[in-house]
Amino acid sequence: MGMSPSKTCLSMLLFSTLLSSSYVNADSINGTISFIKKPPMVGIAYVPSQTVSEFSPEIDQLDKQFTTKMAVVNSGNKVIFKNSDNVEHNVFANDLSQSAKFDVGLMTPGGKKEITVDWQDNSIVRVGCKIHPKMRTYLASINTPFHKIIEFSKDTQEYTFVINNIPDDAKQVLFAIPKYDLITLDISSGSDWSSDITKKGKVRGQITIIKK
Amino acid sequence: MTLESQIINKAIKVQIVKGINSPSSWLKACALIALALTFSPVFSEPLATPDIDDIEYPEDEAPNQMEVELGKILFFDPILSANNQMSCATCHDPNNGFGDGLKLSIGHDDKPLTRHTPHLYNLAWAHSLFWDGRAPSLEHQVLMPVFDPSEMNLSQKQMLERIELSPFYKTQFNRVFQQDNIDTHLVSLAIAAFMRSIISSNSPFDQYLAGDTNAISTEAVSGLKLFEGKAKCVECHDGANLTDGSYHSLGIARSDKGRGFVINDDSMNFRFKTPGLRNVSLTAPYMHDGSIADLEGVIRFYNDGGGTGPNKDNLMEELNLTEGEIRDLIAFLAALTQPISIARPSVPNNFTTDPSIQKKD
Ligand code: HEC
Ligand code: HEC
Repeated sequence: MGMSPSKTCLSMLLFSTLLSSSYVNADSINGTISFIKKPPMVGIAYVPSQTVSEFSPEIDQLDKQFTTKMAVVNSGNKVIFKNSDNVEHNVFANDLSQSAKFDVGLMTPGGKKEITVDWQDNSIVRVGCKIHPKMRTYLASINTPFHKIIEFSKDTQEYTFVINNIPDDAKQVLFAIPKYDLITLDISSGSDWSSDITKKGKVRGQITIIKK
Repeated sequence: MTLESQIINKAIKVQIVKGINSPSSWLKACALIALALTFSPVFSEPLATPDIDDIEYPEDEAPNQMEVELGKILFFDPILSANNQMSCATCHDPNNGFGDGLKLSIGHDDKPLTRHTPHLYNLAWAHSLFWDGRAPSLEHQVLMPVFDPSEMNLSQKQMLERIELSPFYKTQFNRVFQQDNIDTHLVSLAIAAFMRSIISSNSPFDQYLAGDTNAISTEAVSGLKLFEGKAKCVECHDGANLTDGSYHSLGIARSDKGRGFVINDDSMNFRFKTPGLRNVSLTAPYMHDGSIADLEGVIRFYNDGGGTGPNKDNLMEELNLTEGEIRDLIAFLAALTQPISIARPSVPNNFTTDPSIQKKD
C-alpha cells in the first residue's frame, strides 16, 4: 500500500521546503526611511523576482476608512472589497495613466464585491469611494512575494522595515510611494545602499538599506 | 427560576457590585451603559481644530505669500468676466461670509443661478468641490465659474488674452512661477492658492477646545452636547471642519439631482455635499437652494425631521428639541464664528471695478 494522505502531504511539504531553500538563502533587507517634513500616506519596498506569486487581497471598509492603506495585487487576479461599515460605500478607481478603471457600484452595509485586475503590472493605482471622497487606498501590482508595505503616519518621520528571505541572486530593491519618483537601488555589489526620496525631483527624505 | 439559577444570579450580582465599589466607578459604569445605549452606529470623527499639517497642497508644498497675493488680486478682478463687471468676490464677498446674502446669486445677463452660492471657508481641507462634488480639487474648480456661460462667461482664450495684456500680471506671474507665458494652469494654481489661505481655526469653539472653558457660553456648551448627542448633527457634520465630506438628501430637492448628476445611480439622486459649518452664522441663507433664511429656520427644519423630498437620509427623524435646546444649538453654531477679513486689494490700474470705466475688448 502507498503512503497515507497526511504522509504524502508532509513529504511534499518537506520536499518543497528543501527545494526552495536550495535557491533561497536567509538574506534579508533591513531598511530605514526618514522624511524631512510630513510623510506621505504609504510606500512599498520590494525585491523583483521570478518567483510566481498570486495575490487576491481582501480590503474592508470600516469607520469610513479602508482597513489598509495599500494592498498588493496581480494582473488577472481578483480583489475583494467588503463593507463592514454602517453606511454605504462605492469603491472606484479612475487612473487613466495606468489604464486602471473600475467602479463596483453601490455597496450597502455588509456588502461584498470583487473586481479583476485588468491593468498593467508594475503600477500603483489609487482607489477611492464616490460617497466619501476622503477615503483612499492603493493597489500595487508588483509581481513579487518579497515586499513590505510601510504605512506612514503624519507625526512620525522615521520608519524601519525588513524584507525576509530574499533570493540570493537579488539585484535590486525598489521603493515606491504614490506620486513620488520610483527609487531603484542596485544591490548587486556592496552591503549598504541609500538614496534620496524625491517627488518630482525635490528631496523629501532618505532611504537606507542593508543586506543581512 | 430554579434555586440554582437564583444563586448564580446572586453571585453574579455580588461580583458586579464588588467590581464597582467606589462611587466614581459606579458613575463610570453608568456612563458606559448610557454610552452603549445612545451610541450612534455611524462613525464620526471628533470635532477638533483644523490642522494645517492635514492640508494636501499640490506637490505637498504650501504656496508662497506672493502666489497667494496674486490669487487674491485675480479673485477680486472683474476682467475675469465677459462684461468686466463681475469678479469672484461679487458672489463670494469676504464681508458677507464669502457669499452674497442672496438665495440665488445673479449670473451673466442678470439671470439667477440654479444653486445657492456656498461660503469658501476652510476649503483647503475639502476633498471635493461644489454642492454635488463634481470638482475633485480646487485647481480643477477655480476656473469653472470663469468659463461657465451662466456665470462669468469667458473663453480660455479671452481670459488669457486679458491677463497677458496687463503688464502687472505679466510681471507678477513671472515673479511667482518663473515662467514667461501665462497659461490656464498657472492662473488656477494662483487662485487655488488664495482659496486655501481662507482659514478659520481660532473661533471661540477652538479656544474652548484648547482649554479655555469660558471661551463659549454655557448655552453653547449645552448646544455642543446636543450637536454630538440628541440632535445627531455630528453624524454628518464631524471632524475639524464639521463636515463628513459626503453627500446626503435632507428631503429638500425635488428636481435638482445633486450628486446623482455625477454618479449615475438612483441612490445618489437629490444628495448634496455636507457643508462645513465654520463661520456658518455669517453665511445665510442656507442649503444648496438657499431655501432656509436663518439658523433658527435650519434647526427647526432638522427638528421636524427634514423636508418631504425624495431619497431622504435615514438619519433625518424628528428630534423633539425644546425651545431652549433650539436656542442652545444656535448658540453653539455661533461659537464657530471667526470672521476673516480680507483687505480688498487694488486691482491692476488699467482695469477697474467701477462699471462706468469699462475696458474695451
Ligand atoms: C455668479 C456668482 C458666482 C461667481 C461670479 C463665482 N462663483 Fe463660485 N460659486 C457660485 C455658486 C452658485 C457655486 C455652487 C455651484 C454648484 O455647486 O453647482 C459656487 C461654488 C464655488 C466653489 C465651491 C465651494 C464648495 O464648498 O464646494 C468655489 C471654491 C468657488 N465657487 C470659487 C469661485 C471662484 C474662485 C470664482 C472666481 C473665479 C467664483 N467662485 C465665482 C457662484 C459664483
Ligand atoms: C444626514 C446628514 C446630516 C445631518 C444629520 C445634519 N446635517 Fe446639516 N447638512 C447636511 C447636508 C447634506 C446639508 C446640505 C443639504 C442641502 O443643501 O441640500 C446640510 C446643511 C446644513 C446647514 C446649512 C449650511 C450652509 O452653508 O448652507 C446647517 C447650518 C446645518 N446643516 C446644521 C446642522 C445641524 C445643526 C444639525 C443637527 C441638528 C445637522 N446639520 C444635521 C447633512 C446633515
